[in-house]
Amino acid sequence: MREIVDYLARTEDVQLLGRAMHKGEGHQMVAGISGSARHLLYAALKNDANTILIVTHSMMNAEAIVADVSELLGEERVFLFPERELIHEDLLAFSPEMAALRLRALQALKNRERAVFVTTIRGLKQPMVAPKRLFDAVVELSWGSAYPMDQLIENLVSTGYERVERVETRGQFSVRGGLIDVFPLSADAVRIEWFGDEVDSIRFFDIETQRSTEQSKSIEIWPAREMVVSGDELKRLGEHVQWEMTAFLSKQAHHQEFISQVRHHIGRDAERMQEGIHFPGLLRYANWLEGHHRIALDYFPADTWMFYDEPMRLRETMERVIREEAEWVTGALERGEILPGLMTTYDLERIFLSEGRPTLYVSLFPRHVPGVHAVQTTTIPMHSMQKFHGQLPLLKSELSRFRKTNQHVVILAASAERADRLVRVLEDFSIQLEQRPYFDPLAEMPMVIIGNLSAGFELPHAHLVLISESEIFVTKKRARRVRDDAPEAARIKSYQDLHVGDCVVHVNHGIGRYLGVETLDVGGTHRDYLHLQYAGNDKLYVPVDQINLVQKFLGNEEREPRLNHLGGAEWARTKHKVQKSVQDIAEDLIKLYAEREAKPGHSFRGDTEWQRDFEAMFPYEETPDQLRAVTDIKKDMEKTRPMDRLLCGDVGYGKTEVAIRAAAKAVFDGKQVAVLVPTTILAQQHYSTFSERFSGFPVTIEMISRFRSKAEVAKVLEGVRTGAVDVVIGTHRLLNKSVQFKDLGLLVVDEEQRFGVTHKEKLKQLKSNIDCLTLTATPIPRTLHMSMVGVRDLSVIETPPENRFPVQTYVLEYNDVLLKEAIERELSRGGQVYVLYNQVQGIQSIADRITRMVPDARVAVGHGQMPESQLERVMLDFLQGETDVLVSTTIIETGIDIPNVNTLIVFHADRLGLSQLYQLRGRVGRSNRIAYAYFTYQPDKVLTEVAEKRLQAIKEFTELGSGFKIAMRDLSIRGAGNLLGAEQHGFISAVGFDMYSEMLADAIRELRGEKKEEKREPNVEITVDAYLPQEYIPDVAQKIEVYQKFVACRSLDDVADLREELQDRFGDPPQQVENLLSVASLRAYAYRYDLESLMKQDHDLQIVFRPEQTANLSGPHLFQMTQLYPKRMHLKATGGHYALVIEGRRVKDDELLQMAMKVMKEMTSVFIESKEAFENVH
Amino acid sequence: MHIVYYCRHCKAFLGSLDSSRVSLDALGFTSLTEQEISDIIEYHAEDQTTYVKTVCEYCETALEQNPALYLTSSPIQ
Repeated sequence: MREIVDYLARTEDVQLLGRAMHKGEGHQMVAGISGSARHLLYAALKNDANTILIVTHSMMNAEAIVADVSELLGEERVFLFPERELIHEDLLAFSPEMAALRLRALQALKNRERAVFVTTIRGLKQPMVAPKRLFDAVVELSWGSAYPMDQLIENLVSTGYERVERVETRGQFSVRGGLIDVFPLSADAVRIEWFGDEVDSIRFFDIETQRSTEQSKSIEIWPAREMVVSGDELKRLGEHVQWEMTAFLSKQAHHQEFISQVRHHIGRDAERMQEGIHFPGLLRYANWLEGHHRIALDYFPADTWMFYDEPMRLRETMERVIREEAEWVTGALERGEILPGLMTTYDLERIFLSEGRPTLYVSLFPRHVPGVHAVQTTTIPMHSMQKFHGQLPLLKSELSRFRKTNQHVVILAASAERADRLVRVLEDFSIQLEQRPYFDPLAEMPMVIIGNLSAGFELPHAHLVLISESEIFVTKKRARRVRDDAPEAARIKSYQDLHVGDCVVHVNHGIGRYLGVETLDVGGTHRDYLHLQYAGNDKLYVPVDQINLVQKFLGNEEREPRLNHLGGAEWARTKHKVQKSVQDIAEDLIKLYAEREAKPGHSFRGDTEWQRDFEAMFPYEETPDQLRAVTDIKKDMEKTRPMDRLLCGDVGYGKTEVAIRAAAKAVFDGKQVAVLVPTTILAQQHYSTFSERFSGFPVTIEMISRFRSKAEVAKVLEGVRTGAVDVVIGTHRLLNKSVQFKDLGLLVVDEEQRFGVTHKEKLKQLKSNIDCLTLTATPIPRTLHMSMVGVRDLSVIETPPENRFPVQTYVLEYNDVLLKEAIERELSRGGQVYVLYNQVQGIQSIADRITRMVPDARVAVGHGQMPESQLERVMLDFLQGETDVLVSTTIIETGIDIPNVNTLIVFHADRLGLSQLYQLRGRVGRSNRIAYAYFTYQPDKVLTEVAEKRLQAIKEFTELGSGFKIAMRDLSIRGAGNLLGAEQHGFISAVGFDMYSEMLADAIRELRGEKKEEKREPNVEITVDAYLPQEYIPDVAQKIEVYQKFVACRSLDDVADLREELQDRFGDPPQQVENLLSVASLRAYAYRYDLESLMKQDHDLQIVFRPEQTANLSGPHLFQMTQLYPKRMHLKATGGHYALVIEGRRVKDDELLQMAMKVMKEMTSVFIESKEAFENVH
Repeated sequence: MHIVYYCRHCKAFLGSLDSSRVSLDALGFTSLTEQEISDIIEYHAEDQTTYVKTVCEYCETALEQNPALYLTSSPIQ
């Protein structure tokens, strides 16, 4: 792509323009050029020496520019500097991605990078702190430099970092001993270790594992917020605000109510400032802090080339912004939320002020814009590329026209595969092309190169024609480049974190409550115990090395389980009951499986060429899980037994694409496909997805639904009967007897659980001998998945599509301005908005309020008390873009994909469950635009404790924190219910989810005649002070995590690894932890040698061999072993057991431990089996 | 590594095993008690040899015929 840029840069127009800019010959203007061609011009004007700032009118446009320009410039750095969306509101929480993007751009500016920056006019004008203030707050650390640890802590706190026990998300830091972990907003998480006041080591670490990855010589830690202010300054600012407020109030003879309002808002702010407390709304006071108005432009060097993209629109935008600001200021002044003179007023006439920087205005039409004074206008004519919609003869004639006028024709394909396909398809129409690695102006034939621009164009002066794939075929979406700044999608490994107060299940004692970890002194030695509480206040202390007997209780979200009595028979009874039901389920499953195995079905052929072409046309990058699911399904289809596979995946994880590929396989093999969906809306949705995806292939897709006339349906049914229709999509009407297939090969069922019993019966008859693929959005937990392997065919898509920008989530008090702004912003980029108001009563008044505030918006209302057909109509109108805002209750259906809806506003978020919120949020952010979710709660409401907790959890929602994990957990349990039948839900609640899964897995194994692997675990009991002291790991949750790791150690490598991790995460282990590690090593040895036990009895340590080992013990070597400690060791034999005894009288515990370690190290020789055998035993 | 068998009474060398890979089972040590083990078996680190005290046929016969010899500390000279 770079060659195209270079080519354009050499054309006369661009050369002249560049020279004029360089010499600073007054403001320039370019007219006639738009879209990707304009972005190409921007790229062509970039040279090694200049910094470019492109100012556009909307974020959407800014993103499009960034996408195109970075694609064109390749290596060059292109930064998006997003505007701050909510600058007035006091946010409870917000997603950090936007702030990170801003910081990244500021970093580049600080480092004086000659790069391209893109922002909006609003972003350019928003208040900021002075560059020096921000840059001075950046902490630079390097190896060996002196920087007291306390100073960094203070610095981190004052620059907006949150101190936590364990760093999990951006903007947090934690302190342990001589270590500080920091996760900056715009860089990798870093661990800094001190030796005295000197930085001893700087290393990056992985958030998932908390382990260091690589060392770094130095690091820059940027503030976690832009509003940097020291404690003293904040105090002074607070005093100033206080003074201003008093002065203001003294002048006013308002009612008492107004004065108290002012005191409530401003007074509180002033107090917080004086106490040195930061809050997001502090930004409102930025002007008073700086003494004058600072904006983003202040950060750009004086020789920056300023490009104003469509000055007319910029002016219009600013007019709107100024109007809105004024409205807000008026309202806020009336409400007593701000003081006069606090907010900046913009001067519309001065918005294009570049302060002497070389300036270029780019406008489609050369018209006069107030405030723009261009000395010279260059017109670069351009034609947009027409859409060919797959009509290749038309393309052919256009190509020959281009050739006649000596144009260089470039066709862009997104990937090598697609380029191949393009060449193949076009050659079928005898269109001559050549595939080239890069653009070559000497090439005679149209060339296909790999690249991606949003649209094609023709630049006649430059003799350049660019055609993108989307103009040739109908592919609406465009693969979005994976942004390297998007955080890696965290895979949810475990939602088992134990918190104090959680209910737990002990395998032998039942359900209790976990009260924490306690260090107890038993017989003179200290060890840690899990403290569990049972009914009747009974206490149970479980040694931490038996932590695996205790699982977190996962059951019903709403109801707390009843605690068991210690020693009662109740638990045994419950277990027994569940056991029985599990047995039944397992039997049913296995029977079903066997029946299916025996049934004959159609075996599909291997993949055809068409299939490969079809798959290459997928505009996104497949996730590994998706690919695995597709492979599984194809394998199933190629077998003779009918497929019955369940495909689980969260909303938006790409299940449909997998189903579409299965459908393609069936169709390309001459079979028909039926897609059964629970609602008309979904039918409509799938119909458009399938049609779009199959465009360009000779496949007929039809739909049966209520919205089709009788005659249409009859026609479709006729087609289905004769075989003219390949894929038919419909609701339960498909199950009607009148529907006759010519040759049905595959049935796809979406959301099976939503069909009624009678439909399910019909479905069963239908699917007995054809391949069936069922899709479900409720996630199936991995543990359950594993236990079902081989009984129910299951594919799970767990990885979210990577290239999505996380939904920008805000948690804040509700206010009308926010509602209005959010809706207007979304509408202005052509999107749609969901407003969730979960009460039928009053929903209409919300809709009316929106209509009043945003008169242009077409607002619809949907709720569960409407007749179904009416609701369906509302949804369909919304889906088709007939309405802009949908105000509804939580009935917004899952599974409906409306990519155009990218703003979600939730009223009373504190009243909704976490999983509900999570699912709601999943309904936006499904296109390549940035999506927004606003979770609001009513202002000044006394929150109940529960609601407060919930809000706290929602707060964590802004990133994948533990709130997210809880939501996943709830969903998982529901998923299990769906999979196994609703009645199982009760049993799952009775013993907890993990235990249930284990029992089920055991039952299945038993029925299939597989022996449960006997776990031979050595019994290791050594009394020695071995525990994690409070000072070493203060956080209980992390203690538990570490203990779990100790228990999981099976080999010496594991122990060594754990030691390394401890050292890395918590610093040098103290003696107690060393002892723990030694005990873990002894246990690892015990596993290696398959010992029966290693126990301390009285004073002596006995290493007991298993009786069946005696034939393998070398006598002479054993005796030789005893010479390691000649006076202290002997061999002992009791009841067929041999034991090596280390006498421990008058030996300290630590010493005995070391002696045991030495013995174990030497132990290899006593076994007759060769040493290598042990290497394999872990 | 050797195992040397000698008579606990007359100290006569009775035989030796050269292989070090002889299991406890094969040596018959499994039937000994802890007391017996420490009484009968000795390991000498300097020559890496396990010495097993046993009773030679000659001494056994002598002791059977003259049980009174048990009373002396070293019955057979």
